[in-house]
Amino acid sequence: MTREELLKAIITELQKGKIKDFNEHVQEALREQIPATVLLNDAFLVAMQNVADKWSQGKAFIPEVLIAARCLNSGLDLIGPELLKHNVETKGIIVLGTVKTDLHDIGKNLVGLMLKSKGFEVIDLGVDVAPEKFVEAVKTYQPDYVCMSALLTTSMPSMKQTVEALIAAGLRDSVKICVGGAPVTLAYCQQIGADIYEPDAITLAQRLLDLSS
Amino acid sequence: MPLYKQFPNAEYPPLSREEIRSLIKGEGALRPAVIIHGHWIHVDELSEYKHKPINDLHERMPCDAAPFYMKKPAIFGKKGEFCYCDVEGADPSLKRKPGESVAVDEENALDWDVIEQISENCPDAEHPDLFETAPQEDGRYRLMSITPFFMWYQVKFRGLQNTLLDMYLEPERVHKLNQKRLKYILRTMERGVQEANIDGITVLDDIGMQTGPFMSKELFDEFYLPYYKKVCERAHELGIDVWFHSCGDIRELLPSLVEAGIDVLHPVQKYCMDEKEIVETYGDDLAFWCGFDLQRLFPFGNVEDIRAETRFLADTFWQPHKGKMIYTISNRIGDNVPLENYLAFVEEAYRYGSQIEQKGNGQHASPAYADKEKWYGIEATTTSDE
Repeated sequence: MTREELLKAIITELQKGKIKDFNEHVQEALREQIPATVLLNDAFLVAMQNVADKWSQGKAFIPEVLIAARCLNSGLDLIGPELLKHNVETKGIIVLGTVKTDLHDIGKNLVGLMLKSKGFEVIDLGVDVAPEKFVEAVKTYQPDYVCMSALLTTSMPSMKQTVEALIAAGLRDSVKICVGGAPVTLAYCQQIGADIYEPDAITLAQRLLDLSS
Repeated sequence: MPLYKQFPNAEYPPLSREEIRSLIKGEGALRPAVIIHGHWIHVDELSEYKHKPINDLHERMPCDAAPFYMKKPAIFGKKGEFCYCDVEGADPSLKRKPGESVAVDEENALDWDVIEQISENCPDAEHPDLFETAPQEDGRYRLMSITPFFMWYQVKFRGLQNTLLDMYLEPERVHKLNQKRLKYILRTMERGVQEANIDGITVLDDIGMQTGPFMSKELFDEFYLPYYKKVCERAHELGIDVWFHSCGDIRELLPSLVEAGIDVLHPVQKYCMDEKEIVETYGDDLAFWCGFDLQRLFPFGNVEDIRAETRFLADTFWQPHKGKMIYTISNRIGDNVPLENYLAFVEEAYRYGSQIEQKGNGQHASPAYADKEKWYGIEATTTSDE
């Protein structure tokens, strides 16, 4: 296989979630000295963008995104050591979590996947994340963005409490705060003093990518 | 005893079993039914100061059905106990608190080899206390909840992400699990008719998100439609209706639900699907258990917003001389909904509902559409218009 054919195969396999063939071709590409940065930018991220585009167009759904992401994660594990050698910079650091009293995680996970596929480093705090845990994570990881998710209207006040906790800790100006989830609106985002609202994972990831460049 | 005599304090006597049957079939009814209590409001879960006014209201305006939950299995148990999973040692592997059925991530989900060790009759469809909470017969429509349906049955074991991935990774095992669930549902439905005199069942599979379904129609038709069909076919043979709940935008999958034979759809979630479009497209095939919006209007609107939206729902969903509309809430009501909003909704549902057959449709606009900026947020308004 030529280098172009190999990259093309990796893209196709990632999109289809064919993890065995995908892993074999990534390993072959590494043996062929294709740089990890090329694999990342010209194959993995291209394929994930294709999946995201199909999702936006209503031609792919969550199972297709998840099965592609499974390959992406596997691929990142394979090329990780090479990436570290080249000290590849991330597009930014994200601290992500579903807010306190809310256990729903699929929206949050999709945000994480989409941000990862844009080259961000994602610190996922999980679900039911208390304001103080967000504050602690901001101190520890010094992220560019804090992303909060909620599905329940009863959980939305936790977003406001987290913004207030970041203010109280003197950290508010060090990060941009993003909020999202089914009941969340731009009006609510503005009302609680957050910075960014987007209605879905894809538009949020694209917006943060645009901001980072 | 006539139905109205059993509810002496009722300002609006409940509709009878026959009237609800007629309403669902599109053969007419006096007014839209109101069926909330027991499914989408559990008064004891709300703040104590709300209990009396709500209970008083429910006495004045009784539910138009007698809803009840079939006995719910525990998630884990020992062999012979009424539970979903009787595999020894499986509980710690799930790391889930009792009662939690969402947010099970991949790491904490049960492995398929554990699931396959679950006894064939677990949960036991022959359990003697299955209908212990069935209310006394009073002439109202008897609506029994068998939840979850198929997808969310698997979610209990595998979590949502795994469940969605399993359609690609473990298709045979998904079908095997669905077949097991089908057997249980068919048998409990038959027993429900014989032993609890049920008129309908409610089933739940959340197959939609805010902006679209979780899966494509192709995957749904492959993994779920055949089982939905078998449940509906048997239900109709038994002479009962199937009431189906899914949150979110499920427009893509509605043709499949109609093909399956679902009779009543809940909730047609606001901001996810256009109500008028849904009625125009599926009004002949489905009756609508219209769920009042819990995302924005109920918790954040005022009493006038609530009354206007209540009228809008009837104006939109009620089909003159046919019916096909039942009022309810889009999901289980939380304590963040002001008491006065709930009271206003129920009062207006009965008051306005009682006049709708004479009024015709389309006289009121939803406040959510009249004041988009308030309800959608500025950017979302633009998106919505596009």
